[in-house]
Amino acid sequence: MIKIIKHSVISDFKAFTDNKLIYTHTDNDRFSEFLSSLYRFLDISYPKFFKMDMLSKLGFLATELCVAQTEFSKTENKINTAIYLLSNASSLDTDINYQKTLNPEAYFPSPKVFVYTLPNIVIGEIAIKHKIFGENTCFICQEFPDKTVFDYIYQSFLETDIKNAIVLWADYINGNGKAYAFLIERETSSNIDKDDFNEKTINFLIFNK
Amino acid sequence: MSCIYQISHNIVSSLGFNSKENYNAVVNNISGLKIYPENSMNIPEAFCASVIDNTRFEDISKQVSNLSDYNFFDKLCIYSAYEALQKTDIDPADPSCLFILSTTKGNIDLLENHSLEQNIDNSLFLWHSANIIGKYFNNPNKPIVVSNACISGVSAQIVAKRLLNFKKFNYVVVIGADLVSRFVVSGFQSFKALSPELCLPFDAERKGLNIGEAAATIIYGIDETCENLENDTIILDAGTITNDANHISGPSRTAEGLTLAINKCLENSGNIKPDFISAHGTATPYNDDMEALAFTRCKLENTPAFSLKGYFGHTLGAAGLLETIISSMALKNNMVIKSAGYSRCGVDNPVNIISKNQSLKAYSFIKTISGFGGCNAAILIKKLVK
Repeated sequence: MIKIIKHSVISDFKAFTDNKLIYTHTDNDRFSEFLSSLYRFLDISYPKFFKMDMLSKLGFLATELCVAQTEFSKTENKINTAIYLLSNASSLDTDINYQKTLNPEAYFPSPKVFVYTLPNIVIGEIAIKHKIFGENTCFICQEFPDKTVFDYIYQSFLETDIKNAIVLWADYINGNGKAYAFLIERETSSNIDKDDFNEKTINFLIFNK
Repeated sequence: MSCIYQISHNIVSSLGFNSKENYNAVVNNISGLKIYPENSMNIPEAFCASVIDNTRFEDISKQVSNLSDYNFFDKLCIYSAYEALQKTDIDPADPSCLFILSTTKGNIDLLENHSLEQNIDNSLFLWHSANIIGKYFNNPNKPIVVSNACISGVSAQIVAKRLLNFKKFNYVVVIGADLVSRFVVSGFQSFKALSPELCLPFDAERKGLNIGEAAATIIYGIDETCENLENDTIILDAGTITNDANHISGPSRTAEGLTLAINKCLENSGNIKPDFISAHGTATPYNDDMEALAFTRCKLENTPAFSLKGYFGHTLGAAGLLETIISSMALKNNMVIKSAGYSRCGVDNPVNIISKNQSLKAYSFIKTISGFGGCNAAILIKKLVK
């Protein structure tokens, strides 16, 4: 019932779209540098990117890779588009950065850091960029894919008027991150050649197993 | 048509350790909010919050075996689920039972004494808390964690409903919890979102919100035909989640997202006209104005409405569950609850905020909620009438 239109991977200082290497970073030193240079490589003009925390930057770029040059990206207001975010470490990296501002000797909590201590801010950033008004839910899971979350996504397509969705795994901790993004769509006769969205296909597409 | 219905519930808060204690406090107009002066919890500015009485909780939770070694957050969740389960004949160790945890920050208080440079302790990972809770009940399934900012508790109920409709589980135990921590209080203060006094939802003098600590559990089940259920059973009839696609921390000026969520939710429940609204009503100037605008746009401006924040504060990941429970109990008792802290209308679009407990023959209500990240949600709860 649900087809994968396109997918992207950001992992080990490399970026892929539909398993094709799009960009690699020669200086495998700092993940933040890698994300900034990937942003420049993709030639997106979106200054808000530089205000985001690492998790949001990662999720944002994986989504950009995944929706580039699709029919989806040409639609104006996306009322029936959903975003499902999955993550293991949630916002823990930013949580630690925020906690550092609470040192009694140098107490200076910042709202700009605090707002990113919620993982679903990643969803908010993507929704703003792509004008997505539909359903959005953030799940914290040990691993991707998570069977029960996938059952939930399937059931959501079954019982609501969702037309398409971005399913995003974004995880950043200890200076390293990984993201997988999928643009999925309710099946219509015109795209029967596409892959089904289920755990088996995902495992094959991403992990080659 | 199958029915997704409430089997049991629990609330642990500053107002009590089960749903009934909490409900009784609310109808007797007792608030759990207290003012904490400057330098309380090592926070320079004064704040007002609703905090669980730790000594009493430790005492009460002794009734539950082997709880002493758990972190406070995990212990609260386990206690809440345990008390809710105790009133049922559900076996939580059965594979047909699923646990869902709704939280924004879990054990975040542990960061206070944690190294900020070294490897992060497992207890800080939200999935780890969920695993610990599931394990306590010997549940064989991998639990689900929903962390959708302030709407988590309503999101989690929508997840429960759909997973029951998926027909793999017969019971879903939805637990929502968050603590009043230095982390969260300082953060909301930095946003200038907190009132140092008792919060006043929808009132002209409102200055901001108060943070609350709570754990709340609802156990949902599915009945294929609804025929085996008693009259007046509480049904989760419909639920919708939307995004404003406008701002990551500010409510939408047009209330577009919440309006869409309410309209879609009512449409999905066969255009029911709800008898009352259990609002989010955080008491920040922007949220309450946005919400009142959404109610007006949805032609619900005359529907009786209240916020429970004046009793419990904003209980974050627990809010959606706690407020659904209290409102469901009010629905069962044919009553609309006084919106604590309200005396004079302070929103641009006047809505019908209730300033006194009222009897009302009620069949359904809508629960609305909004949060950071631009998310909004609405659920329609109704009584089964045969």
